[in-house]
Amino acid sequence: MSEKRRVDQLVAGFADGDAISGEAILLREHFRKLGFDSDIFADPRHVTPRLRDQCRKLEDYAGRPGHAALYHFSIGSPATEIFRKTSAKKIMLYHNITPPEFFRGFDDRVEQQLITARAELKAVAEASDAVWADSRFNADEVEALGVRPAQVLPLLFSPQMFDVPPDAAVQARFAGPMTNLLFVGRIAPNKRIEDLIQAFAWYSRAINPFSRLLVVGSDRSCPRYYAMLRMLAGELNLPNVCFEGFASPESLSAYYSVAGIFVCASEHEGYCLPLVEAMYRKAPVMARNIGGMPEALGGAGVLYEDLTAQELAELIHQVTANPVLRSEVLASQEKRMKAIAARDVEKELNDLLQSLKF
Amino acid sequence: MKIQVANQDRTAELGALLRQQAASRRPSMLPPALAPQHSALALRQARNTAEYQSILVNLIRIRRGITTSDFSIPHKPGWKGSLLAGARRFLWKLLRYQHDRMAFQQNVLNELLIGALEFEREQRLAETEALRQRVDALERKQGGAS
Repeated sequence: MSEKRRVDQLVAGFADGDAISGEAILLREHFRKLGFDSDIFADPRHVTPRLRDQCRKLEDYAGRPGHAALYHFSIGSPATEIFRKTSAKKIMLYHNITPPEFFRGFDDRVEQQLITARAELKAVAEASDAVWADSRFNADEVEALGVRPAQVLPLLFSPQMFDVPPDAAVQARFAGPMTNLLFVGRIAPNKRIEDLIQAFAWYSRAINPFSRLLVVGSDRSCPRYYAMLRMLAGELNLPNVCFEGFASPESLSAYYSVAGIFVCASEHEGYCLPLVEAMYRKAPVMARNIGGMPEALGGAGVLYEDLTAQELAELIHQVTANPVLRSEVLASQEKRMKAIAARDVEKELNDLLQSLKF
Repeated sequence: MKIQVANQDRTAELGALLRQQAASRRPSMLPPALAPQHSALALRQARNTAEYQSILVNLIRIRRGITTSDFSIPHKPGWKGSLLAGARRFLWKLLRYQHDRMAFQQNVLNELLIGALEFEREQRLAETEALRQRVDALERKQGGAS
């Protein structure tokens, strides 16, 4: 009996709430539906306990001719060397590498890992048989290295993974007449959460005192940056800035359900899946017009550039309080979500794999 | 400034409105802006972990006290809102005596903790420097012997 063809995935880490890990799980399902055997291989030092049974150890990966290895590349990792050495067909899926300077002073180790990853990017792209990227922004970055054209496979979003009953305790804490401004994402310096806090200071003092800023995301990604944010909230005397930490899928569902608006001031994103999640949960979405975020929004929501903290606060007010503007934004988001739901991911993957002559 | 709503450039219309509204607002009780070197955002200037630590300790030192100054009590429009806010203001005046006594104790504790942190850091820096000098001396000695 002939062995089934395999498409395996290599990841630097595998964690709950991480967009790349979520996409790896979805891709595995799609590959299996397409008739391939498929597993995820991760560095065991960076696998969260809940996901241990969902992946295999990186060192157990043994690619062979006739197999394909898809490497989710975003940071320096031992997976890079394993990927480069495999005799399987090599696909790099580029999720972008955060510019190291964002982490300068906040985390020397992560800064170094990002420098290493940037230095390795060209070599990894050269060693690959195909380069995929989850946005045109990311694809352009790889293509600028002059190695090979990159094909775009927008980051996958699965409502099934996201549709869980909201945590009642979280809903009870934040429901009610106050306006909740929501941000979801790792607490990392490229996210520019300090800009949100400064805008919120103006919003809550000058516009709407019955408001909160909910910051949902792991504070362990960059503890020194988190310390700065806590200090800033104290300095501006803002007890209504709520750092909620890592959220389970149920809690996350609850945060989106109480959000009056979702705002992302990030200065660097390869795509930004929380924008899509927020649109799916019908919260009006505002994001800085940078990186892969315009592609994630796909013409929906509000994009801004070069606003002061006061102007950002006023724009938040307009989107939350002006019913005409709000319904315009929500209508655009509904259209965008219909387009995302209509995606035929298996056809996209099949086409990409066929172009690899695999 | 640039603003796009649902893929339409709305900078002209919304930009003017935002500027006009921002200029007309009177934020209540917004704390005075700190000098840049005293703001938490000064931590963004750190070039490595050691610099970050140094800036952080300085910033903590100037934040050791709990503020007991008056604060804004927001109220909803209408007589009910004013009544509730008035009741809250009255309660705060009543509680303030006890609150300030506790705040004094907390401030003393904060100062002691920050002092301990600074002493510990100074001692660690001094020990590291002494060790560095000893390693340099040993390396020179080894280099001279070979």
